[in-house]
Amino acid sequence: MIKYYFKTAWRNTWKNSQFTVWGILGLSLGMAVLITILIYINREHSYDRWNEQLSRVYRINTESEWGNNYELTSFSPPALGWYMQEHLPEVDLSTAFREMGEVLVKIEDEPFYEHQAIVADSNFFKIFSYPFRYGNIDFALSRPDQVVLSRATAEKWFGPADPTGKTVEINKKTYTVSGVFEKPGPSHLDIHMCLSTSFDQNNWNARVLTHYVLLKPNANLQQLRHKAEEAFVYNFALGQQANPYIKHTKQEASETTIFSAETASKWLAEFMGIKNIHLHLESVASIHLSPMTFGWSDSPANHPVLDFEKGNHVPVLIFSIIGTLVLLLAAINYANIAIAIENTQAKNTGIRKVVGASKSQIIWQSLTSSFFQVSIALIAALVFSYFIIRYLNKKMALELEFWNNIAQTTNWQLVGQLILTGLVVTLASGLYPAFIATRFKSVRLLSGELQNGQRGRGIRNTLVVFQFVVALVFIISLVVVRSQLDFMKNNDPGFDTEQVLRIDAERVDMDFFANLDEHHALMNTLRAMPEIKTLGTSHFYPGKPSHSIQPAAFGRTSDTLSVRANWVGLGYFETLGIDMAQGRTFSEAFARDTANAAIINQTAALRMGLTQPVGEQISALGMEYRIIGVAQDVHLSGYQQAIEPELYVIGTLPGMTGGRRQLLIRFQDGFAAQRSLEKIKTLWRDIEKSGPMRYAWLQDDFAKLIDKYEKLNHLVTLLSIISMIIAAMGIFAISAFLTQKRIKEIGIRKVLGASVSSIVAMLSTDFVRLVLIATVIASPIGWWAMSKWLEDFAYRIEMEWWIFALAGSVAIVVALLTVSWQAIRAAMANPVDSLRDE
Amino acid sequence: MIKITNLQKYYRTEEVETVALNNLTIHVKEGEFVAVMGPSGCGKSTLLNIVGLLDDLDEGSYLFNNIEVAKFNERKRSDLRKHNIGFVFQSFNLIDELTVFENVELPLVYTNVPAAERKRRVEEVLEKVQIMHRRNHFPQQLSGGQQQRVAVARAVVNTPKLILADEPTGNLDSNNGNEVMHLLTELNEAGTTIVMVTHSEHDARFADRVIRMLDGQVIMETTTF
Repeated sequence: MIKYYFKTAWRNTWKNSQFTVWGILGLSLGMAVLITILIYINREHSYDRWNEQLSRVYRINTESEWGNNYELTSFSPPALGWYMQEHLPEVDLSTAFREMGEVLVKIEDEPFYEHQAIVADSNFFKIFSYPFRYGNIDFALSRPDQVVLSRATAEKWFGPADPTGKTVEINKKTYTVSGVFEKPGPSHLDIHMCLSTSFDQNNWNARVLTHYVLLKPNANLQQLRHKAEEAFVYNFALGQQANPYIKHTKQEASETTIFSAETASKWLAEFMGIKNIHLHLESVASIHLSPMTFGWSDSPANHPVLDFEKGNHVPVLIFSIIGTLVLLLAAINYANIAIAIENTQAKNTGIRKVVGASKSQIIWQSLTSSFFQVSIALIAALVFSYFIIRYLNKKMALELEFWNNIAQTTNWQLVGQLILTGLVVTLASGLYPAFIATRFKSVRLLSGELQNGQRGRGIRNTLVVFQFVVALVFIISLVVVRSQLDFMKNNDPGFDTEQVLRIDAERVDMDFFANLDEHHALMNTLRAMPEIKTLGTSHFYPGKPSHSIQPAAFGRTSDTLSVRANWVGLGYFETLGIDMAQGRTFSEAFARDTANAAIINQTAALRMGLTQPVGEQISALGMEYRIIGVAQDVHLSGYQQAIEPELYVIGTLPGMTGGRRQLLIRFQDGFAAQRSLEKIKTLWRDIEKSGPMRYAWLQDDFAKLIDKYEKLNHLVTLLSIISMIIAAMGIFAISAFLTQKRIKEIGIRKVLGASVSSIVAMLSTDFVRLVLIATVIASPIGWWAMSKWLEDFAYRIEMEWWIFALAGSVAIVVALLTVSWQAIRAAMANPVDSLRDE
Repeated sequence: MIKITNLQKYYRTEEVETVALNNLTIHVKEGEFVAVMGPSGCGKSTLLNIVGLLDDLDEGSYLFNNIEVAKFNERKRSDLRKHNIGFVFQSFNLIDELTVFENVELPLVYTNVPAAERKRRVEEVLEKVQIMHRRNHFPQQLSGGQQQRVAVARAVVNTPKLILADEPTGNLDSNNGNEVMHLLTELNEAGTTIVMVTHSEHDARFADRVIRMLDGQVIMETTTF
């Protein structure tokens, strides 16, 4: 029987292939989008799942308030983890690590930089159960100067052979490779290498490490949190009281006895101004997709190892909705076509009933046909999604993969989801035709009465409108995203990044507090180069704007204003081409410029309420400055954020954290930038022995700020095209079906003298009307969604009427092209044929 | 075998109610060959559909083998139909996507006859209607007469007690028409009851009895021999 069902399904599909092919193709496109999104979502949900002890691993976050500042970070003091492991029975193990940022690696005298390095204590791999390819997990970090590498890193450095026992120089210290680990799946930690260390078990003061604890089974989280928090507050206060670097202004601060967590917290509030100190245990399982945001002032970009990009649940949610929507589009299409075909099949169904088919047999036949076609669509969808994934990986720097070679569970998860999707679509699209087939009496089916194109017209039109609404919303989004991108690319940011080279000199061998300007050998040689027009040093630069927010006092009343501080050298403003609105830039001609001169921007002047700020005093960064100039407002942080008050100083005081280690070079016009770059590289190698020159073109740095919108643009383009294709396929098949139904009418009209154009117009008008309705519905939806999106930008385009008109026109043109092909063919046909056919 | 008494059948559209069959009573005995004649629209086909349980009646009684079937639901009708009644239509009503063999096999598929048995019975009946050589062809590759022979084969493959034929020769030329009529006669001689609707006096002569209808009523019954 089943064989018979399938045979019939195959023959039906083949016989009606002029319609079924569009349904199946559309369905497969929709499914391809869904498969891609499923792979993405599965990946997002697979973060850290490979950790066998995941349910018991928690990260420790700390929270506190001082003054108007609130901080929630994943950092805690080194003593905390040790204390928890030794004194709290709920804790099995604890581990801590610190990020190293970029490290300088030297293998066989070849220096290069590597990212994603951490130093961790010996428990790290006992809590994070990365499978080891080489080396022993128990001893990998047990001795000092050991390093464990990810497989990719090990292969890059040493080739595929076992590298354990080999030595490597990292940041000028020699380490022995003690292990190589596999990455079985994505993790909120993205590490390439882990160096062994042990941390100071008595330091409660500095919150510098990220701690994880492995809990005993069934540990009471609340109790643990409470106990750990008390220990933290108590010891932190003791440490602060005893800290010789903190000068307590009040006598009682040193004299008060701190004997409990309660007195400690009072002491901290009273004498340190630190309130509401809390400790949180965050399940590692939920870190990646947790909606919690760190209220933290440093830039996440500085921490490549940890997952600070919070809010990952938002794209997961949005993509789930999009995936469902696009699949719905395609399924509607498919069902629409199936219904149309079923109407033509009514007579066959009637015959089957007459010769004895029961209701259930009819239903099974219909479902088998759907199942058969959905299966074909699913196979085609796998092929399509392969290309979509390739496109997305390339354009959006994603790491989606069809088949995970290590984590097999995600593969089977996908297989399960696909089977489920297939069955749901089969049922959803196969049941209605089945219902039609069983609802009518055999006599009526036999007469072929159902073959009337008017049947189900309301439903069909609604579905067409729905499809075009979705496609139109995507198109409107696309136009808005593109316009905003164009605006960000073409608007004058107020400075000139073209022909400006940035050299990152963070690792140059100098005294920690020294500025690059003091590297006279390098700077003087560069200044002498004819290719170089101007040269400037800075701590921050366009694309990485200042995140050092400092209070600045000004005026007689000592009002304060939060300003973003940047430490710059001579030539900074000239090199970037930032004009002065008032006053002048820093200059060698004025000796005190290097001591206490400051430049603010127009926004700072405005917020300070000063119309003539030049000559005014400003107190910030522990110094008194005199304002010598007002720089014009420029978009250093792109267009997402509003321009903030800025303060520029030449910081040379010891103890100041702002080292000017970014070298900005503007080339003379008329010199080939690439050749000049090679020359500087050679210079660097000869003068500066710290390692290879790290550089970027400032234009690229600045462009990185809009990188994610470029990616969004690619994504929306893809979705617009796919949804439009699906919608077009839908009306193509429906119009083909309706045209076929009206072939006799067309013949009669032609016999009575209708022209080809009038017949094409008659057949097309209905669809154009539907697309117009869809435009009317989609416009406010698109307007609302894109208004929300544009709220992210401090500087944004206005959504104008033409965006919606354009989207509507595109849809109408697509609809007309699709429908008119059918219509013209029908209208051109010889009426005698169509009349005789009937 | 068939005892229809005081049958009423109406067709309703939104505004008009038309009486299709009016107070009609007919009896058909087992083994009989009955022809129903009358002008277009007199209700012959409606009657045949009701007899074949394809359509229901509005009033009256219908005893099929002494069982009241007027109030049967769809499932019971379907059951009774597939085991007792075969149909032959003027427009053949073969399924285009199925081969000759598969079309004839269809009733057996729906009654869950095992595959080997199906093959045997289909081949047997195809031999009988002399279409075996075209068993793997599709209906549109056959002539009208051949198609109707396939339809007859399909009607009898389940060895029904009753065959209902709705103008079986209406779309055929006289040679092919005669062949089909001979087939039906043979079946009748072998014991199958046949009720045939026809416009053709020639065809009606093959029947034992002719019922003439007008405006939904029986106006005359004649025996042909």
